[in-house]
Amino acid sequence: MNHTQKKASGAKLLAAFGAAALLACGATASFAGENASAAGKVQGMQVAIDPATGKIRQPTAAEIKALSTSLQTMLNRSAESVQINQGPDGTLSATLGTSYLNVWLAAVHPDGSIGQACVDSADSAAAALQPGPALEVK
Amino acid sequence: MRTGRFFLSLGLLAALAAAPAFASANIVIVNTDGPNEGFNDPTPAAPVGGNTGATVGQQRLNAFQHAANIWGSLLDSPVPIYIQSSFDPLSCSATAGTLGAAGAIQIFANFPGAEVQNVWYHVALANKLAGEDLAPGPTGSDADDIVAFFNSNLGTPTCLATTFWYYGLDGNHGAGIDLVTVLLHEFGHGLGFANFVNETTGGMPAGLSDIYAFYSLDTTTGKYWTQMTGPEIRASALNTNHVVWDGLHVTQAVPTTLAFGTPLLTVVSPSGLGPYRVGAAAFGTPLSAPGVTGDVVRALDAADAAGPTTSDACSPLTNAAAVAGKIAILDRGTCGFTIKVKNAQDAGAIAVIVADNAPGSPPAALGGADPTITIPSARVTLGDGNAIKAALAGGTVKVTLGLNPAVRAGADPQGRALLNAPNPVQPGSSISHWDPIASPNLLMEPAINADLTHGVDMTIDEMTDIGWFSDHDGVPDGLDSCLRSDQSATVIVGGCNSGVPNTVFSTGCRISDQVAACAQGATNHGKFVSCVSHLTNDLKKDGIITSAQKGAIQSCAGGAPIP
Repeated sequence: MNHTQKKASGAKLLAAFGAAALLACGATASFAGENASAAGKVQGMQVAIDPATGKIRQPTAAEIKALSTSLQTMLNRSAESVQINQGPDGTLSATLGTSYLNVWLAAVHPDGSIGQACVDSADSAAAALQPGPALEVK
Repeated sequence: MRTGRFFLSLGLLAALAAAPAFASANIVIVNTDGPNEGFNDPTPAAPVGGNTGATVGQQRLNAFQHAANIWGSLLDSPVPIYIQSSFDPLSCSATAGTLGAAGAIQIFANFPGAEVQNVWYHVALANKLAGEDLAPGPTGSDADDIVAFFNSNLGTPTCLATTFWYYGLDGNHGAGIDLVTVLLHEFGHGLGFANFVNETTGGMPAGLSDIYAFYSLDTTTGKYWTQMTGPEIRASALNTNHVVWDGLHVTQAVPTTLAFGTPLLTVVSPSGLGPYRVGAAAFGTPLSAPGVTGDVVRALDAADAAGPTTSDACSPLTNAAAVAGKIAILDRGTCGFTIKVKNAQDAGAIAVIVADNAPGSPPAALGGADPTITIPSARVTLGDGNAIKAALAGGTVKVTLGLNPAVRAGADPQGRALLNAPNPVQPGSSISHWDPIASPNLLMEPAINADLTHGVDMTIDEMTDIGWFSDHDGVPDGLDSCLRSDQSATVIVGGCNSGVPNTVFSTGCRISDQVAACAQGATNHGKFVSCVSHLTNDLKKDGIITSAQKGAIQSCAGGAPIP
């Protein structure tokens, strides 16, 4: 193995770490409101039904957008916004708070099954929230 | 003084490199929920799967503590690990939602005890290596080590109502989502199974890489992620099948963790092509070892209403005589996979390669069902399909389609564990997960598989590589063959102190380890003394010890009651 190490490039600007969980909670109410009109009953549970097909539907664009927005802080990973501190002994530290999280998402597949994925970026979150078929047939 | 000279047997190395048997860490769940919500939800609950909590809140807390205890029994740290925990109504709808999230709250670099300089460490690991709490402060604040919050609404009418959290501790989750397994996974990220790289931008805090990236190797470029520029990181994150974990302990664990038999298309001739990763079909004869070998022939059919090209095999093949007894290659598109493969089978093909019609890797599986299909088939990527077709234009191409018995599922041909690097990005983080091709399924794949038990498989070996069992010898633990070596300042043989400095080699092993190897391999005292004599002669030749020091060690060995 041959590793090289990089030198610290100096302190970065202070990051404003918000309460991501609270932001996420804030988006919940709008989700609930959007889905109320498209809900039905399956085995005693209320689920989202596509009125055209009668099947459990996938997330709508509006739902995906709202959920993606709620994830922005958790998946921020903005290196520039992380404040670096240096101690007298040379120790470097940074508080990430809730900006470098691994987020567990779930979304309904076209076949009605629920897919899950652990994501750490907006790209992988977007892919997780718009799942294709569990298995392509053509 | 260090030298690369290496004397130990592989068997002894494996024994020395194993994780300590008496690991222990105190992982504390810090309940940050308010009254009557989350962990404090007073809703009565019946005991489930060994979870005896009488309320929903208590069962949640029990599941958290159970997962924490599992990790705590495996890791080793003198500093308590605080997980700031809550159950909240996270963003969710009837069709999609956030189930939970976790991660390290702080990161540290260049602290006392760090064996790799200028890389970030997760705070819990940094504390362990430093032997003290580097971020002291009250619980429930940023002084905690890991934050973990999960969705309390899951299974309610407005949040993925068709599923639910299973709070049992026995893994019998049925249709529910096993909370303990998800927690083991997410805690794993917070404890060290994650990088701090932004794979979209290539950015890193303060431009410093991290201990996870230190062992992430791109086998195409030969560069570790700590050596890459931002553009190189972005490219590597999409380099399917060519990003591996290159730490000693994970690599040693691969043979006892992953099964032989990777679905591959191996090119027998001409040389220089492949092997190609394939997505196996859900129908027909499953891929097997040694697989089906034959010449490849392009399947041709009419360009008609069933399919617009002569290579889509949506109609009966027009070159059946050429295909018979051969492996047909055809293109994805228009009609179902089963129709294509059945047409090839009807023409006498012994196997089918479906070339994708859109870029992306790894190749997905072929779905569909047709019980009349009896031949094996699989998909290759658009690029790999084009490479095979180009080779066909130049002559005969002979391949084997099947499970390659020499390559473990989830490892590269050199036996290193593959990291997840799909192109384009798929659901699930790239790099900070194992490749989902792994078999048996692993805890740190991008998604939880239903057959997982409450173990951490070779994730503990990743934790070993990054430093959770460090012997503080200055050799990064993923390169250290002797994590449990005798750290005495001088070489002591059977209680006899030779006074010879116990030199550390670049392998992480010391002279005392080599003497121990002699003791372990000797069937009688004479053989032990002879082994030590050879060892010290070599050390003398290499200039590591003097003649007098050689004599001192040999004298101790001669008088030692070994074996």
